[in-house]
Amino acid sequence: MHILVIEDQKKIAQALKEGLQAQSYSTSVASTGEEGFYLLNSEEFDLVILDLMLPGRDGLDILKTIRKTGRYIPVLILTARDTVEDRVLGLEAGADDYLIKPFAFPELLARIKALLRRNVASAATELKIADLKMDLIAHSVSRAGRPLELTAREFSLLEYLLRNQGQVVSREMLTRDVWRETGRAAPLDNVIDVHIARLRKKLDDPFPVKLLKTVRGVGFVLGGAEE
Amino acid sequence: MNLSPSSVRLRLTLWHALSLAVIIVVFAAAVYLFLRQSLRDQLDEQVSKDAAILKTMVSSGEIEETEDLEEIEQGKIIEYFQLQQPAQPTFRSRAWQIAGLDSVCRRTDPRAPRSVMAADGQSYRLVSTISTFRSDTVHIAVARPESPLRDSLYRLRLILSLSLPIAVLLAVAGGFFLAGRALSPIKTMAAKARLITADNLADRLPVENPDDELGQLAAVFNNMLSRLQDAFERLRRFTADASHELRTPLTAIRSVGEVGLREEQDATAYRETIGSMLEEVDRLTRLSENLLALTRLDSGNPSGAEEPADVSSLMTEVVDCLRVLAEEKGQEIRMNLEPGITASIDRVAIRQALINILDNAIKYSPPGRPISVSVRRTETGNTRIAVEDEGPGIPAEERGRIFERFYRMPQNARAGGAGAGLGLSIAQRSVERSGGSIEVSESKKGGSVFTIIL
Repeated sequence: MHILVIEDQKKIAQALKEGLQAQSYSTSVASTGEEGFYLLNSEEFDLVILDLMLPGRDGLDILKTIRKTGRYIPVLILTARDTVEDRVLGLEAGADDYLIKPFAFPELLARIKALLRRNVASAATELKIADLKMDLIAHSVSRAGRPLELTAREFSLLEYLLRNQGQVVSREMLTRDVWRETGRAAPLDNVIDVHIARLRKKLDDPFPVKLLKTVRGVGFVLGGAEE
Repeated sequence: MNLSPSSVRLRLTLWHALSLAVIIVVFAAAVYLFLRQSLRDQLDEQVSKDAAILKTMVSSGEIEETEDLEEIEQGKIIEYFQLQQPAQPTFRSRAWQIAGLDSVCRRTDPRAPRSVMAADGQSYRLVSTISTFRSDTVHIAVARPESPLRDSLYRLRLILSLSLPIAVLLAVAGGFFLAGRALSPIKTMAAKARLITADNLADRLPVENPDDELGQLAAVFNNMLSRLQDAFERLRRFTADASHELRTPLTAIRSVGEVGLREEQDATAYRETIGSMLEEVDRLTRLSENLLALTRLDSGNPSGAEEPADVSSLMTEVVDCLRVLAEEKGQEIRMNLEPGITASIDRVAIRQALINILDNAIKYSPPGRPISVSVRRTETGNTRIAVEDEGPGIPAEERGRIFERFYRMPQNARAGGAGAGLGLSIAQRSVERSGGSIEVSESKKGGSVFTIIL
């Protein structure tokens, strides 16, 4: 997978590049729209991460130009302009998704994954990791053959963690995707922490191998990829 | 001095002069017409009197001879006259002849006074009558020149037409002076207002007489200045508070980072350091999001997202969402919701407000004490949402301030409460944006009741 990052802030561009490469995405960085456009024409990319606020040419402009070439490529825009109009403008110009600065890196990874596998339907009826199994049809969870009694919220929380297994999931992602809360200012962090603690109690406490880990300052991860 | 057409002073002056000119013209015309009429009447009366005298003289036989007539003529009492008797030559006074009145008056049937133009180019007022002397019919015609009347009227016209422009000019001058005097306080006010900037918003315009129009204007201005000053003051405090709030996590990030770098550590310790820094970043992010949310709520224009929503079910959702927090503290949330109460609200904003308030109640209530939540319709048809806790309550003197930004009650601030003191501000602004109000009071059991009226 080859990702193009068009971002003029050197520090952010560098962090993105390192982070993406650590996830084994090959990554190229362009610091201006023109450079990005040149790279797009000379190499094959699977995804573009585009900062909307670039010197010289507006990111929206570049986005429109990319869309005019006719070749479809997923574009994820980064913006500090956190108003509905800006998001709508970006999506109308052809962006596939957007992230508001400051964003959490796990969130970016999740979005990238979603965009890259967008065409692959996930019709899985069962999710599993190690000895943990979730049956999406029977709505049941078991670990090492022992059924776990989960509340509806715990179930959807675990499902989300399972779908993103091995990836760190931030509280913001949970707020939005599991609690479906639109305002990020909602004080849901404590709520999430309580649910995670309860889930952990049912999921991990009776077993020697702990699956659900907390990554301090970032979020939670199911499975051992982060160690 | 501003003499552009848009100057109020000039416009006032011109309007003043114009209206005065119209009044003078109408008045002058009336005077002129009245005078003309009365002069005419007077002339007619005189000429009729002349005719009557002649008539009497003829009928009484005082006039028999031509000499009698000449006598009358010389007496200058009646100058222009003509007598026609059958079988006698027509007698015309000398003046009559000079004026050439005979050319316009040959036969004189009795007629009321009328104006005629004589051969000498002058106009005369002519009256004719009939008298009898010894069974003879005598035709009498008497005239008086109209020129004195015309002269008078001419002089009047002259005076009027000369004095009118002078009067108007005086009116312009006077009006200009008066308008200037009347407007000078406005000029002073404008000059003073021009000097007031963001730096000296405490200055006020002078109010000479608070009851007159200008005084009221100045008062309105001053009122506006007060509000501006308040807004600036709030903004200033807000900026100061915001930077103070930013400083805390920034300091934490900095010291954690510096300490972490001081000596070689193992990966776990570094992880711990970075994680701790990220936690502070999270705090910063949340703070900036809250500030943005407030700014957006403050931007004034309603969100436009108001639509009828079921408040009872919204409250249920919020309680379900936060219930785990109460459970952790052994608190029971007692719900008393009238079903199906709807109100026109911005659902997202009100949900946020309810979350913030219920979260507060859970946070500040001691473990094991119940929290009551109720939604009901008031007698006036509004929706009343109440969240009641059995916590320590809020002292009366703090109640007015708890909705202020960054305000934390002293005991909570000392305890290092997690929030930045924005939750209730956001709740209040959200509720107000949906046209509602929020207030806090003391509950029966000494805790606090937050009441939202929508």
